[in-house]
Amino acid sequence: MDQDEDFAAYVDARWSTLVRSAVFLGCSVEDAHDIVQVALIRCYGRWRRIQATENPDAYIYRVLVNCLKDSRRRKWWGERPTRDVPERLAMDGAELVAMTDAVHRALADLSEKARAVVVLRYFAHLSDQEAADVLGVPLGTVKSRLSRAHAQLTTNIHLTEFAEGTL
Amino acid sequence: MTSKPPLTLERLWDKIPTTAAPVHDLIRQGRARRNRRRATAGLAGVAAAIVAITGVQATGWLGANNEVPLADQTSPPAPTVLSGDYDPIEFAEAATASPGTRVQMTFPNAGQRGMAFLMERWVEGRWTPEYYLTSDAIENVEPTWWSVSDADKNAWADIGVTGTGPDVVLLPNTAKPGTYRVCTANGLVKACGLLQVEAP
Repeated sequence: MDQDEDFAAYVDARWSTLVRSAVFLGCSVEDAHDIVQVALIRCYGRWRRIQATENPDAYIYRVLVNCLKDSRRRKWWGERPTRDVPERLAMDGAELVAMTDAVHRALADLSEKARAVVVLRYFAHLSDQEAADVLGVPLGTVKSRLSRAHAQLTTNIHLTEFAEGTL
Repeated sequence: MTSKPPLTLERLWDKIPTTAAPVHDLIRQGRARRNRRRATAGLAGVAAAIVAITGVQATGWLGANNEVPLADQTSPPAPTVLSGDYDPIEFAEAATASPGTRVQMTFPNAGQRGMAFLMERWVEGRWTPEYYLTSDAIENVEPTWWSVSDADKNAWADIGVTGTGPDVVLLPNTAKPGTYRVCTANGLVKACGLLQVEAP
């Protein structure tokens, strides 16, 4: 399999997870699509080396987290504009805003750092050590953040409302 | 102990909509980025060699060519029509204006937008962000602009604007003559238009 085929297969398999991760990390649904594209474009040129690493996912998530940090520092203008706008989401603008709002309210109790741990461990399925490597923190910090985050999530009123279908 | 997230969080995760992966676009842009980086690395290498051999100040040598980059000789011409999936922005005055003047923009599709716009110049075959513009959408607030390099020092009010306009923006008095793309910077729907800036 050549590099492009390999990259394409990875993107096809992980695209939704990466976009949803970016939403959970604090982006709007639309910004999440943009930021994941920026991260993957950055990774394309190093794809062979990334594939040679023990866990490519960990590397990609590190790039994604860094892109998010950049975008927060510089707002969205860190992107490189393109003439070819990607496919639009099927939902209309109001629905997207409502979805983004629901996610952000559900995760509102968590700090950015706690969210990152939740996403990397629960949804990207990285190990504690891999999450620690991505975030550049000690293993124990990941464990303690995850434990606190889990406790906060179980008592989050918005998640309860969502479970009851009132969101 | 904490091996699984709450079920409701998983349900919320599953409900987040995503588009199909834009694989081909990512590969195309990834290649372009890689080629740009190689070209930059190559140019730096040539400059370093010249410095080593002749003692010429590389930065001065390269700086002297800043106004007319070598790549311009073969760069594609600026587009005359925008081909992306944007809502249109139409300019008064036949889409030609001088730096430091005000121009009116109308939005035939009346898409929701903010007061901020990004102004990009066609340089070496691609759109290069140069300025942010804010419109007169807020009463008694004058339209203004700033360079993208000053982005960290400025901000716009996060307001929603609807209707067909006109929205008035002030063209930067430092804008170089050329073809520009002006797009909504924070609208729900992206809208863009082409604008020619001519020498004053």
